[in-house]
Amino acid sequence: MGSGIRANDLTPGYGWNEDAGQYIDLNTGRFVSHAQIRSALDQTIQDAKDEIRDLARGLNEGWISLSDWQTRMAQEVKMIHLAAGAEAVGGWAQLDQRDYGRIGYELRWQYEYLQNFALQIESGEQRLNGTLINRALMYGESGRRTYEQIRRADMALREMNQERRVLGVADHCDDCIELAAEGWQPIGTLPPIGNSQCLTHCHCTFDYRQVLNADDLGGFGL
Amino acid sequence: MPLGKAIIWSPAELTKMCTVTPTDVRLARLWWRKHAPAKYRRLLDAQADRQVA
Repeated sequence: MGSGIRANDLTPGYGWNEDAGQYIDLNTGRFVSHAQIRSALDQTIQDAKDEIRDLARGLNEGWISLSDWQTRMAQEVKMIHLAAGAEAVGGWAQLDQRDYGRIGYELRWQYEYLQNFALQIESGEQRLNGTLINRALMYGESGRRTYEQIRRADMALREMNQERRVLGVADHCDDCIELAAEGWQPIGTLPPIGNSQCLTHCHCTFDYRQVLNADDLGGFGL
Repeated sequence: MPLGKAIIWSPAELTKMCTVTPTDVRLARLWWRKHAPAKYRRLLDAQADRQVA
């Protein structure tokens, strides 16, 4: 695998192979598949959604004020997106200022949505019921988009020039099915995760590859 | 308890909120360890091989 790292009590159980852009399980010396990494994120987000659900219930039941809820949601969203970004680039130690900027970009419009959400709650346009909880949970799920966007930028830096949408383990919306059917496309040209009909519920991911000469493949889409 | 008012963040406040600080990273590390599956709790503590080789 080319890694000189070995696990012991003082080191993490995982390393990051910068050349391959992949995690290494230091106990086995093997690369950890992207599917496993995405699954870890999905499971983490699923667990964190309990806190978002509790906050929304608190708002519904009147034991937390709207401003407290908004502040705590903003903090939770930051944690989710920061961790998702770190996972995409190989861990905390690999995050750099460019990554922080990308994470901040994703956070900004999440916060703008959150503020609009809060204003709709204040006005009564968003009712205090289960729809509020379901809508709040979408902020947790949005971490998948950040993970995929940061990873996409990282792959472009690694001179990957094609991407394809891969359907995740979930029910698929028509948009995602159509996008997956497009096959390999120039990197950065397929819509980001979260822009389909299924919004933040999307479980799709991207594969990347480097094609030195498009003629080798007979053109895109293969 | 009354719902109260929503917070309207100014552009400057939003910019500050979107800036990642060392404290944010420390908190996010704890957040990940709290929520990640046991097998992956230390995943994000990975060091790049060329840093420690």
